[in-house]
Amino acid sequence: MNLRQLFTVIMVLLALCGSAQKYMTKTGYVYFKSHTDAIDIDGSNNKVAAMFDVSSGEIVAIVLIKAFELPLATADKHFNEVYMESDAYPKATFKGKFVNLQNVDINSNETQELDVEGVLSLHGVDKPFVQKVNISNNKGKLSGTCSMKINIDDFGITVPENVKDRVAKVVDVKVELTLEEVKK
Amino acid sequence: MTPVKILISLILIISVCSISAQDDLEALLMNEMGEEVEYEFGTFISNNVLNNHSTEMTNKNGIGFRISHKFGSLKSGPAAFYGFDNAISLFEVNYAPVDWWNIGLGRSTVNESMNGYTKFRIARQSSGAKVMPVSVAMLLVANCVTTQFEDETRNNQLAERLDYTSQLLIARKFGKNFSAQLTPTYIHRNLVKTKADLNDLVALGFGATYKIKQHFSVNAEYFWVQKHNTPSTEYFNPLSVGVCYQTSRHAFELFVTNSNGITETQFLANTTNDFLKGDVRIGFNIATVFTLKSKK
Repeated sequence: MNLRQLFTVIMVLLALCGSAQKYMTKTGYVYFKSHTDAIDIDGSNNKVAAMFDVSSGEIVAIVLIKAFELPLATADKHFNEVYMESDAYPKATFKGKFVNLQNVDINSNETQELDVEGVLSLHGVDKPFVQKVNISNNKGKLSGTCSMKINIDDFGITVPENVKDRVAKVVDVKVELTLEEVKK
Repeated sequence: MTPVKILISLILIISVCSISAQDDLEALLMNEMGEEVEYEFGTFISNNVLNNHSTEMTNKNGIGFRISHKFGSLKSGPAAFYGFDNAISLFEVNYAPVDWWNIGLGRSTVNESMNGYTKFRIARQSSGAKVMPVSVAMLLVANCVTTQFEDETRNNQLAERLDYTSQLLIARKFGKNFSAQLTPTYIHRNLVKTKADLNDLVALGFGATYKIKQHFSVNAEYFWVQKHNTPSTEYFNPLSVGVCYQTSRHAFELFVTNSNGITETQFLANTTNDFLKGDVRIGFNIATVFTLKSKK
């Protein structure tokens, strides 16, 4: 093996290494709404970080709880202190994998449905989680959106007795992520 | 070392790199995210410690109302129902055009005065990517006495009716349950009672809150006020001790205090009762806040 061959092999290896293609965002959006007859409480966060590894189909998303903005007066304080206890549990994470990634073309700009399964960790509680996600590719940017319902009992979030009729047991959550390819 | 050996070691290094990177996508993402700025929440339950403002502010688009009462001296005994008959009160409304700026307007029954204030947030306690040890706000209050003066020749001059309070509110939340506030204060009164009374006064306030349980705290507030040189009246430093309770929308404060005014100039410069002699009264605040429109 001469030096030129060695150089070629190294370049090929580096290229292979680089082809563990990843997509990422730090400005993903998540929105939640608690609907009761008494009051609607909603909040949004546009600092969701997510990373997607194309070769393995793995996806990780991290939501900083304190980055939620709640328009209702004093609601952010209650959200952080009483419900999410964000000092103790500063972030929610989802770690999972697309199960049928090989069936779709991630370069297609058509909306395709994918199943993701993994573990959602929220308020210090880890729960297995399966979710349908719509993905599409818009000029190299990969968007994923999904809507889900989260039962706050599942995650050990308790509502004080005196406001029971003002906080929904099942909260609607919408997630919109637009991931860009990570440049090596 | 032969090229083949170099090649093998390179393959090993690269494969180890790529395996570890794939194994911990989360770590990789965390690394990309870097450190966030974490702001402190709920240094005090309401916008007031007890009498005085705290570093808390009404959030953007919020409109806050505050009703404050102080009864007469407990010493007045059963004849005045321990002060119940001689209540003074303040009604105040405030608005937050942006998160860091509040404006307020109030009416107090003491000297039938109107007051306007503006409160700016200068710094917010945070950790993480940006470390700021304290929250700091600036409070500027102008108060106008609208009652008839005893000396009728003085009546028509607006300037004589005005007094001003400027405060720097410096607070820090220590851990989950305890917060303290330091409040350097400067008061200017255009008109004072006697020649011996000072037009300009400095004061230094100490406020503290301890959260006993969720939504329930014990608060205390003390001001050292520059001594007047008055032979006729003896002034005391205002001290207030009480509890604060919060519901989903309201904050209630119930306290005992020796101060007999409600707005800043009144309770700081005109406290004539001695707390240590038990010359105290009961004070009660209700604060509530509504949201005018939702943040986009």
